[in-house]
Amino acid sequence: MSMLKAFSSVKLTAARQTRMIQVSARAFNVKEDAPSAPKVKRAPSSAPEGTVLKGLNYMKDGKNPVALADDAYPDWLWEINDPEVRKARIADPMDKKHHKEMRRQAIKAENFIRDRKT
Amino acid sequence: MSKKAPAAAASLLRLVVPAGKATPSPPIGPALGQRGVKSMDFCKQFNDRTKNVEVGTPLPVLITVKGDRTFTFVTKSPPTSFFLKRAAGIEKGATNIGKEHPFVGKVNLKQVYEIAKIKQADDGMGHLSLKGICSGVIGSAKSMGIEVVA
Repeated sequence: MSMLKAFSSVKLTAARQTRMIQVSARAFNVKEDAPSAPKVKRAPSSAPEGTVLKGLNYMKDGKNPVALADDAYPDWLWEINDPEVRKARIADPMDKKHHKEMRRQAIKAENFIRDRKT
Repeated sequence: MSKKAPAAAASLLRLVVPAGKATPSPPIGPALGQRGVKSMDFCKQFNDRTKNVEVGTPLPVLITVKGDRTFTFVTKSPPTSFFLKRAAGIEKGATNIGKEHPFVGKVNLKQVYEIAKIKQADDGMGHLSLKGICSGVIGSAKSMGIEVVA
């Protein structure tokens, strides 16, 4: 702890010492790895590589696009249609979707109460 | 409001016109005629501009008619529903959708991706990510009763 010698004039309590170590550790990026994002489950596509994607060409001299290998497409393509991903986003209080859903439920509840026949 | 304002006022007109086939009286004729534009002029220009497109493809058009009755127009990509129906191989979208009703067609994610790529070229999509456009296409598919599978 040579760096602590530089602070010999300062009264080093145990708490302050721990704090200095923590701060300097962060400065040197000594921290555990951030939990990696859940790997998106990629169901194998129903259009394997080489399938002609019909109906998408509308130019006279154009051709329908051909499907590439599953790996050539970005991860998010499987995410956007996945109901589990959507549920996770709604459950996560840091996500905008969560608050939108809460607001929507509150409006429905209020409308229900307002509209019932007393 | 200065006196110059009415003379310079431009009116916008949105139509969906089949490529290469224009001037039927019902859709285009009255709409343009009301604004003092000769529909024949528009149709000639439109058919000329869309000569590379498969005949009959519905194309949304935004026509700007200026106060002096001259006009300019912008052609956009076909509607998403058009692509989805062709990709799913169906003629019409579902009459009813929801839990009690079966899907009328199926489309896979790679087709959605390609449709989004076509739509991305439009002016109005400049601020959207490809992921956002794909979400939009999936939303359209759901409201037409088309299932999106992997």
